[in-house]
Amino acid sequence: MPAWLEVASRAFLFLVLLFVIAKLAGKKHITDFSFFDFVIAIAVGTITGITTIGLETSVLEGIIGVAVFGLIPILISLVLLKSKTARENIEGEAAVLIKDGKILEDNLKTENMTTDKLLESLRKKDVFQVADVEFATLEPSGGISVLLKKENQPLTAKDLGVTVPGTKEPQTVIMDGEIFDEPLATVGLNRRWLKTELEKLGVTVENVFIGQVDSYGQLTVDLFDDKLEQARPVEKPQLLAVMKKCQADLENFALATEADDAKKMYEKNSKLLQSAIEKVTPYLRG
Amino acid sequence: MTVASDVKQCLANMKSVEGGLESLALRTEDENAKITFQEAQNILEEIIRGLKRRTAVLEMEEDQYKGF
Repeated sequence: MPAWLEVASRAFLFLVLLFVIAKLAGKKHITDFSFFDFVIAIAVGTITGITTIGLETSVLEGIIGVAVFGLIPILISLVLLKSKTARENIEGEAAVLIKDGKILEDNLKTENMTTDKLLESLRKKDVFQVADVEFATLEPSGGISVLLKKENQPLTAKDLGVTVPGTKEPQTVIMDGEIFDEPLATVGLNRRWLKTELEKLGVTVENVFIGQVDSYGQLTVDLFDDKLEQARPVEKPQLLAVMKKCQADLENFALATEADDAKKMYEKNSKLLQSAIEKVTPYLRG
Repeated sequence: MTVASDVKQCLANMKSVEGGLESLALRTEDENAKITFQEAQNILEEIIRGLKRRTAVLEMEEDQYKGF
């Protein structure tokens, strides 16, 4: 066998082997690599390179080297999955850096973290003042996690006591002008409904780049033709507006009528409608 | 325009709102929203009943509202 063919076949063999090991190792982003993972990756790469080009080393030895370096970490990760003590010893634990708003200088020292580095990590988390932090830890992967004091946390609907409507994931029913039946069926709709909605918006399927249905069965589209003004769904706000108008009408009738029982009926219904409006407003707004 | 026609128009609007709510309640995936829409729809039904009775009365004694 000529040397070039030997190199090519070895390269191909190792590509397949590495692909299998990568599949077995599962999903792990390179930024999540610990020092250990990093060293293993380099070792595997080096062995592969040497065995591919250096024809004097035997293929079998190369494969054994790669297999040990590749498979043992996979076994370790299986052990880690089962045992908490193994996790603590191998992966390390999160170190508390700030507790009750106070920096723990001793822990900084044991983690080899300088004050500047701490400030830098905090700034990366958009925290520029240490006093804003309630609790912070250094994660085994090297990043820091920050819990802000309650008054510095972003305002949520819960803080305000506002009812917000729940949302489900939207379904993408049109891509590149093509209708997809499965997501349509998931939300209990069909092509005929989609056709009607598209007609309401005044667009053709061919012109739709992406069309999505939200959890209220409203269709929003992005068109290929960006010069066209995009229609927003108006059904819900319109409904709310009509309800408000009706309520105002009822109040008018109550003021205008001279019949006592009618006046009472209008007033009662106006109040009822007001309560209905208050109920549905969070769901119909926006 | 007479009061009777105003009330009737309001009644028609109410019916359209009721239909809109019903259609939303049917299409919504979120359980809470579904229940809220149905509750609102029930309230509207009651109001519509009241208004219908009133329009019946108004149709009989329209001249009471002369001058409005």
